[in-house]
Amino acid sequence: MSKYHIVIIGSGPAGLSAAARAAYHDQQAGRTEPSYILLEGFSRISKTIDEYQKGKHVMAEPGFIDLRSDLNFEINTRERILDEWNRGVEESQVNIRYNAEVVGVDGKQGDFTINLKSGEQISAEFVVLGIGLQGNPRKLGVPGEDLPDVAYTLSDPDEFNEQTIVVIGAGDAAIENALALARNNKVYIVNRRSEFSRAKEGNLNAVLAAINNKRLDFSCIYDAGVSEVREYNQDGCKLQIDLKTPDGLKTISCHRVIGRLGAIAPRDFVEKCGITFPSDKPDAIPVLSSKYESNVPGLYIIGALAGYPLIKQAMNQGYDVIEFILGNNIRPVDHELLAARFALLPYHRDVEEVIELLQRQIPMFQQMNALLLRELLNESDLHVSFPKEEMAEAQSSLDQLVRNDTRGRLRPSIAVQEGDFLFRNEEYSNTFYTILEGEVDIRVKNKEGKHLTFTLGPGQFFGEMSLISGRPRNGDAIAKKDCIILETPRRTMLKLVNSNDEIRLGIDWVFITRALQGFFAPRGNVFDIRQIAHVAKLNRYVKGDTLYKEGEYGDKLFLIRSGTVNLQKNIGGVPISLSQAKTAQVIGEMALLGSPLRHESAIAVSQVETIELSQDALNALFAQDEVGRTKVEEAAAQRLLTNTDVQTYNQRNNRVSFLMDQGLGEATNALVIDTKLCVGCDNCEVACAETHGGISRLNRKAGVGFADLQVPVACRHCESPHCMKDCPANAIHRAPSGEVFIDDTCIGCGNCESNCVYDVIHMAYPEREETSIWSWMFFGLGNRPGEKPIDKKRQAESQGKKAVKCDSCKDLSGGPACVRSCPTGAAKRISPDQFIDILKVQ
Amino acid sequence: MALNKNILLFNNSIYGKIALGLGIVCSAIYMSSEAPANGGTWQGYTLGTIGALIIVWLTLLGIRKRSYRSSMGTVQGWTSAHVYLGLVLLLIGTLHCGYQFGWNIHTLAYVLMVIVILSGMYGLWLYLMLPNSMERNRKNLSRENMLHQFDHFNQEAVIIAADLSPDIQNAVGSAIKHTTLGGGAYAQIRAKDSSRVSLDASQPLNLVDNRDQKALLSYIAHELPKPKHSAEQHEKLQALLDVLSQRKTLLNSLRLDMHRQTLLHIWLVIHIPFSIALLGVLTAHIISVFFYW
Repeated sequence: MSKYHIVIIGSGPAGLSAAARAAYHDQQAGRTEPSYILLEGFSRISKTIDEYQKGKHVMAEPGFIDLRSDLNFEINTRERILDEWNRGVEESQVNIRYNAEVVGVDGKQGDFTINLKSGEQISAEFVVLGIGLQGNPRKLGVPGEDLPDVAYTLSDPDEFNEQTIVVIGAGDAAIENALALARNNKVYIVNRRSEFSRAKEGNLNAVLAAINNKRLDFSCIYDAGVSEVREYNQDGCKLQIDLKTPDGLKTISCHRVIGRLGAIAPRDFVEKCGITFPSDKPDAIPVLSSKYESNVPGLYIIGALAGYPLIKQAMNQGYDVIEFILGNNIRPVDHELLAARFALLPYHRDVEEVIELLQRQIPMFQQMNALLLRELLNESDLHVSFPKEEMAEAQSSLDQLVRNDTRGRLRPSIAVQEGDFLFRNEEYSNTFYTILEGEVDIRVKNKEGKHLTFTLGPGQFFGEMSLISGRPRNGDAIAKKDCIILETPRRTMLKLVNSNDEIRLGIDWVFITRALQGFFAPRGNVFDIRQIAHVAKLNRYVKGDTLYKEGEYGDKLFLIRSGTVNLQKNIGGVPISLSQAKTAQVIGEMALLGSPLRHESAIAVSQVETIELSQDALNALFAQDEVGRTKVEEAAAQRLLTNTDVQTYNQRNNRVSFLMDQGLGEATNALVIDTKLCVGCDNCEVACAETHGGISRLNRKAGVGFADLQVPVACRHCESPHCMKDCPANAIHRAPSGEVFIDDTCIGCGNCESNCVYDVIHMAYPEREETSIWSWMFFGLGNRPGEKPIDKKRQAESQGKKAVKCDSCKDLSGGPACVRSCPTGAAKRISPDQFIDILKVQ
Repeated sequence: MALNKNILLFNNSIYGKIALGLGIVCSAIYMSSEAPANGGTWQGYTLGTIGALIIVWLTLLGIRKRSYRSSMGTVQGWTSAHVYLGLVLLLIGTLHCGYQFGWNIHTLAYVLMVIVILSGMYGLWLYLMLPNSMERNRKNLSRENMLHQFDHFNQEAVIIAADLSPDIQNAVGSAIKHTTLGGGAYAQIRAKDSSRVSLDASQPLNLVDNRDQKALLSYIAHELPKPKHSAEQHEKLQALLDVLSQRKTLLNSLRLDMHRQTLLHIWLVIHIPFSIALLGVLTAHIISVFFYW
C-alpha cells in the first residue's frame, strides 16, 4: 500500500491548484519522492470543464478577488485553459494518477485509507476532497458498458456523420444529444418508459416532432432497457446492442452508443466518508471550519462541493488548504477586502477578531460555521451611520481608501447619515438586513395614511418579507444613531437558509410573527403573537396546486406569504377567474366568518407559500387588536364585490384565465399585445434589438394568443425570478423599480437560460456598437436599424457568449422601447393590478 | 390602461382637436382675404408656411419611429398626431393654392401631396379594420402555429394515403406539391389560389385546377361510396377526407392572413416614396416662388 502525506481527490480547479501547491512545497524541501498524490477518476484533468462544449468561453469572475495559485487562470476558451493547466501540471511535475476512481475514504487524521475502484488502497495522513458537484455519469450497468465506443457525454455532435447512433435515456440531455446527432446520422433514442415525462416542454415537443418527421432518420424505442453491448466489426459498425422491449429482444448494429442516464450525486459518497450535512436539502453544504476542514478531522473539502462554484475561488482554496495542512497560518486572499469592508467600524481590531466578535454577539451568526459567516460578510454591504457633522470625515476616510486602491477592487463600508433611508416603501429590493449595533426604525403606513413605527435593535433582522415574497418593500427603514447594519444579497441569504435549518426556522418564525402582526394586530403584543405564530402552519404549493375547492367545507384561512393564487368559480361548466390574491392578502376568510362552504376554488398560479390559520388562532389574533376583525371583514366584502363585477364582465370571454395559464400570475410587469391593434410591423422587436446591442429580447410572433390578447415571448419580471435561482456569479438582480436584469459579471454558464420557464433568456455575443439613424441614412455608416450584426464569428472568437434578457429598458428615461415604439399602441406592459382593467373591455 | 383603443382615440383624440382648431384658424385666414385667393397674398404665404412645416414634421415620423432611445413622446402619440395633421393638411394645402391649378411644379407638389394623403387615409383604414378581422381569422393561432399545423396536415395526409390506392396517393401527393400559398408581393396582394392537382396516377403532369382544394376533395368524396374499398379502406378514406378538409380551412385562413398582412405593408410602398418625392418638389416649389418676388 503506497503512503502519502496528502491525498487530493479530484483534479478540478480546486484539486489541481492544491496539487500544484503541494508540488511547490516538495520542490522547496528538495524531496525526490512526492509527499502527495492527486487522484483523478477520468483520463484527463478537470472533467467538468473538459466536457463543456467546444470553444466555450470560461469567465474569471469574481473580478474583485485575486487569483492565488501556482497555476494560471484567466478568461479564455475551454481549450486554452485546459492547455494552460496541462502545461502547469507538467512544468511543476504534479504527481497525478489518472483513471483512479475513488470509491471510499476510511479512517481518521494521520491514518486514512483511500479505496480505489481497482481494489488498490492508498494511505494518507490528510485527505483533500475536490470532487465538485457534477458527480459521475450513471453507466448502463450491463456488460459492455465500458467499451471504447460507449460514451456518456457528447461534446460535439458534428464530429459524427452518417453513423448509426443509439442514445440511451429520456431526459433533457439525452433528447438534446439525440436531436443534434439526428441532423447527420441515423439515431435511435431508447426510453425506459412509454413517454418522455422528465423532459422540458420544449424538448418534449421537439423530440415528438422528430419521431414523427418522415424526413429524419430518427426513431424512439419505448419501454426498452439495455441488456448487453458487444463489439461487432461488420458492415462498418463497431457495436451491437441488445434491447429488451415489450416485443422481445431487439438487436441493433451501430457505430456508437451514448448513455445519458443522469449522474450519481456526490453526496452519497461524501456521506460515506463520514461527513455530515446540516440538512436534507439537496443544495445543503457540508459543515466546514474556516480552514475547510470537515467534521472528520484531517479531511478537507474545497471547491464546488464546499459551496464555491466559481473557478477562481476553488483555485484559491486549493492553495490555501495545502498551506493550512502544512501548518502555515496564511491569511485568506479576501483579508484585504474584509479589512476595507470593516473600515468604518469603531472596533480597531484585526479582521479575524472582528469576525469572532460579530459571531459572539449576533444570535443568527452563532448558528453559522466560520466559512459561511466569512462569505456572508464578504458578499454583504456594511452600512455605518454617523451624525450629520461627522459624515464629511467618514466619507473622506472612505474616499482615501478608494483612492489608494489602484486596482479598484475594494468595496469599503458605506457611511449613512442618521435618519437616512436604508430602503423606502414600495421599492423593489430583496436584500436582507441584520442589525449589528444600534437601532433601526421601520415605518409602515396603515390604511388611513398614518405612520406606525417599530424600532429594531442589535441582533434583530428585517427585510425578510421582500426576500421571501419578491414583492416590493412594505415600509421605510431608517437608520438611527450609531448603527451598524449588514445588507446581504438575496442569493447569499438563500444559500444560508438552505444550508442551515436553524436559521431558516428562525427567519420563518419572525416572518410569520411580523406578517400576522402586520395584517391582523398592529397594536398587539409581540410576545403573544409569537405564540400564535408557533401554531400557524406554513404551507408550500407548486403551480397548479389547489388550496381549496369550490363546494368544500373549510375551516382555515390563508395569509399568502409569496406567490399568486387565482380564485375561480365554475360558471356554466367553465372555470372563470374571479380575482387573484397576492402576497400579504388573505383568502378563504369567509369560512371563518360564518360561511364555511367555499364559493370559489383557490389555485396556485406560481409557487405559493401561505400561512394557514385555524379559527382558534384567528380568534386569538382578533382578541389582540379589534382592527383585525374589521380588516378581514372589509377584505371579504371587497372581494365579494369585485367578484360580482367580474362575473358580469367575464362570462363570455375569459381572458384572465388565459393570462394565468401563460404564467402572468407571477409576473410583475409583462408585455402583452392587443391584437385588435397590432399591424404586425415588428417595430417592437426592432426597437428592442436597437436599444440592446442588436439582439431582440422579445419574440412577438412566437407568442400565444387568446381573443384580442397575445403574450409574446418576453420577460415578465417574475416576483420570484426563476432565473435568479442558481446564478454562480450572482449576476442577476432586481432594480429598485422592479426590473430583473443581468449585469456584466455574467459568466455565460447558461443556468438562467435553462431555469427560465418562459424561455426568455438567451446566450448571445456581447453588444455591438450602435450608430445613429442619421449617420446610417446620410452616410451609410453602421447597421441599418434592425439589422443583425454581421461579424458574429469573429466576435465569438474574442469573447464568449453571455446571457441576455429584457431589462424593461430600465436605463432609458422614457421606459420600455418596445411599448414606446409601437405605432398603434398595441404593445402594452401590464402589472397584475391591471388585469381587472382588461376584463372591463368587452 | 385600456385595450382596443386605436390611434384616433389616443389621449382623448387630443391631436384631432388640435387639428380641428388649426383647420378652423386656417379657414378663417383664408376667408380674411379680400383679394381673390392666391398663394401670393399674405394669407397665401401664411397658409403655405404652415402647410410646409406640417409636411416636414409629418415626414419626421419616419425618423422618430427609428429613434428607439428617444423619450420625445411615444410613437403611438406621434402616429396619432401624424394622422390628424395629415388630414387637416389636405384642407390647408387646398386653401393655400386657392384652387389655382396648372401644368406646373406648384400643382405637381399639390398632386403629390394629395396622393400621399389619400394613400395615408387608405393605410389608416387598413390599420383600423384589418387587425381586428385578422385576429378573428387566426383563431388564437400565430402565423408560425398555422404553418406548423399546415405542415402537420400535409404529413398526416401522406401517411394515411400511403395505405390507399396509387391513384389516391398520387392525388394527395400532387395536390400538396401543387398547392400555392403566398409568393411574390403581387401574388400576395391578389391572394389568388392557383393550386392544381393531377387526379390520374398515369398522367402526373396532367394538372387540373384545384382552387380551394375543390377538385381534390371532390375526388376523395366520390371515391368514398364506391364498393371496391374494404371496410378498413373506408375508414382510412374517411380519415383522409377529415384531414384534407381541415387542411383546406387552414389554407384559407393562411391565405387570408398573408393577404391582409401584405396589405398592411404594401400601402407604404406608395405612401413613402411619394412623401420623399413631395419633399423634393416642395423644395423646388418654395425656391421657385422666390423668383416671383
